[in-house]
Amino acid sequence: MSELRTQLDLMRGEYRGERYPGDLATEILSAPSAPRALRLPVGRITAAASALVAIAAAVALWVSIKPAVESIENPNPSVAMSNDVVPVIEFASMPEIPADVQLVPADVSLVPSAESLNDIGGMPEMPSLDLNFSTQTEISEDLS
Amino acid sequence: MVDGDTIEAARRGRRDAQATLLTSLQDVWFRFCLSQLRGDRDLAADATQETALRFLRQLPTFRGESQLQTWSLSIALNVVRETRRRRANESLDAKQDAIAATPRVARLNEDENALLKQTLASLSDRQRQAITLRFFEELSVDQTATVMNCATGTVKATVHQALRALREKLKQLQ
Repeated sequence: MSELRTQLDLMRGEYRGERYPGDLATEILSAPSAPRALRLPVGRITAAASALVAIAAAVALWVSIKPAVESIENPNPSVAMSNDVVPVIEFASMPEIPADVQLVPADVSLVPSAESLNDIGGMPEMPSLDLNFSTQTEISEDLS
Repeated sequence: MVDGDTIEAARRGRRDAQATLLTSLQDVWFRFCLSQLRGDRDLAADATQETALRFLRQLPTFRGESQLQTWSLSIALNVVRETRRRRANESLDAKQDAIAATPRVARLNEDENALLKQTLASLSDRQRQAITLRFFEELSVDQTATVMNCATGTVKATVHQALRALREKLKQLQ
């Protein structure tokens, strides 16, 4: 047993002399930092682009709405606007056509004339059709 | 050893504190992985990196019920188990076969330390884990049980069986 123990002790010394061939901290911890460094600017760029698009959309909306709002309001501040209701009877009278002016020559009639309705032509006649599709009568006759 | 403030800072995500923890634990993880992966240094380095990644991911769940090193070795052990499972039919078995096929005369000419290494490699995974944690990492039975996620009685029995197997194999080889 003691010989085995001695050998185990010798092996322990050799075992403990083994070293990892490298630096785990550098290998493990530096590896993920590179992708993260690449990922951060992408996120920032996306956020900045989103903000710019939102601002542009807001400006476009404001520009499209702004003139319509101003046209409703008084476009010219120097001219006073009146909200008084003007009665219809106070509008200027419509111009009338003078009675002695003829719109149509006297020898021309606006209504077409016809001697009789036969001149227009008769309606075409429909062919006579037997619209009774019922066969019940025939069957009942056959059965009888 | 790492103080509690550093652990707490690392838990909260401070990079410098995490770097301190990784630097203090990287050799512990590497030599443990190396011993469990039968001396494959590349595989052990990969397993160490995977352990570090999981360690940082799970660090916020560390409640300080055991020592940080003990807790982290349980992560390393899980990584080793998964690595072994993945490589079950690949190079590890080939290496093991090569060790087994080494002529007895040649092995007898090697020094005793190398002989013990071979013998250790021939143990079952659980026996090798127990021996490494108890005798090489010098963990207590309780700590070994925490890392191996088993009862203390199981650790004692496994270590006893492993020592007996080592003695018998050494007798055979000598």
